Amino acid sequence: MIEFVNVSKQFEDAGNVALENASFKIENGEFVFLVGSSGSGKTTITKLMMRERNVTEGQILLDGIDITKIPDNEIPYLRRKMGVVFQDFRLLEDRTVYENVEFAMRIVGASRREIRKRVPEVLNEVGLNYKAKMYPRQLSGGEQQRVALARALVNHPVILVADEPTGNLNPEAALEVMEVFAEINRMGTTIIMATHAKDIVDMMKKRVIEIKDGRIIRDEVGGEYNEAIEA
Amino acid sequence: MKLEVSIMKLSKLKYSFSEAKKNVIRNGLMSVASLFTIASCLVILGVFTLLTLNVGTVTNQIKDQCEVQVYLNMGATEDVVAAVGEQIRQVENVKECTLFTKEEMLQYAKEDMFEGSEDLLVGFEEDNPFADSYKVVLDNIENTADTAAKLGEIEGIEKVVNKQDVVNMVLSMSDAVKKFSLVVMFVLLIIAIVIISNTVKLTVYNRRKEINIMKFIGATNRFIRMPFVLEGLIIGFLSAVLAFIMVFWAYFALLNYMQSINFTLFELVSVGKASPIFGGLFALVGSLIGVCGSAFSMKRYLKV
Repeated sequence: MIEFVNVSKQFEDAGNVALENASFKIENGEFVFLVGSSGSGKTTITKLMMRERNVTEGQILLDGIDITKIPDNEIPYLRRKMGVVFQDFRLLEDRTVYENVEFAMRIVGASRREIRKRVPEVLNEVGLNYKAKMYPRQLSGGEQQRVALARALVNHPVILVADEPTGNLNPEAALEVMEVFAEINRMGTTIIMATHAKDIVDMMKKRVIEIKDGRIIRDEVGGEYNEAIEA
Repeated sequence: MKLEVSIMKLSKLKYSFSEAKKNVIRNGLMSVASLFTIASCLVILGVFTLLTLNVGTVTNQIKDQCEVQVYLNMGATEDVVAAVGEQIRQVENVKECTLFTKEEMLQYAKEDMFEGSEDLLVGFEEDNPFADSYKVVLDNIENTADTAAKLGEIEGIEKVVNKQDVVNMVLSMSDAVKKFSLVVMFVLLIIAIVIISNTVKLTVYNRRKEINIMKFIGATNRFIRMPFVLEGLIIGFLSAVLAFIMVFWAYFALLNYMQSINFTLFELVSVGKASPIFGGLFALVGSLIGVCGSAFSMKRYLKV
């Protein structure tokens, strides 16, 4: 469970408030969309969760522990509890699909035996086992994002954070990737996804948290992208 | 559990090492360039180390040789010579004194100085141009000047020659050489660190995307840094090996040459004694600059 308690974030250089007094609670196994226009503050929320940035005020509780207070040298261990997927995939071009996923396990010091067992397993989950030996450039955008997903999942994260994961994909590929997300969520992983994709949000009928100018203006279960933005 | 932990660490270390090796090879030309530059720095460091080492021993040799030569008046009788010798022994700070008669002096001149042209000295037996002298060895070189002055007051002594000036010169020279060497070594150390840090920076820059991803996946800074530090260490250590081979060979050749020309004025430190010193220094300095250089270059990229 992750909970934001009166979280504010102000960037020193910009001077404006990126997030103001935000409070919400996400239970284990939930699927939550963060929606809002560019610069509204949704990416700030994902960055604060990963401790890529720290709050100006407030608390972020992950299973009861305030992650805004953990020392820098413990940040890697926090990040191991979370998987992360980006809009631009961030795969290593000079490594195969298998090696890209294996890389994540090596970093946390997994044994060779564990790696040999787990990597094919997770590639299977995203439906890419048969492309294990290919390089990212040989794959379509949707496939590359699924590799990134496999990498995010390989170390069994509690929460999967995705920042515009379908932003670079065509509609079919986006749907394909969303199916994988839905499947992962069904298996119990919490998913927090910042997105612009109206079609997807409307179709999935999940919880929607809408942010505007750094404030949470809507938190609705089974919501749509939002009438407020459309208007 | 414990076993599991150690296996984990081993696999991490293996990973770091293989990554470091890859970095060195991928960065081929740059690695080779920095290897040779650092090796050159180490060679210069080695030259100055040898210089310092040798100046030290030569100074000691000269210190040990510290003695005063006392010349008696021309034509002093044997009794006078003996009496003067007795008086010299009474002077403070005199350890021992040995008589060097004018006959011995002439003999020495014939055998050593005019070897092959002894006929030049014909007739000198009857009219010996040399004076009797005493070689006076002192207890304490620091007081050479005082002692020499006291010896000069003894009746029957014509002249006192002391090597204090030479000793002082050598002492101050060795001091200057040591100080200068230290400065040069320090400057070279800084240069070498900058060079290695630049090489590693290049690798870090080429792999910044990878580092960024590692940070997001939850790699610790130590884990990220390790391959780069090892890269620096490998380059530093290889430079040390290269420098050692060069300096060892050059010094060996120098000593052989000195032997071939029968150089006996002073004795240089042997290869056997010197090589562990500069070898150890190279290994230490090479590794140290490798590690420091890469650690410096990493800082910026670890802040994510």
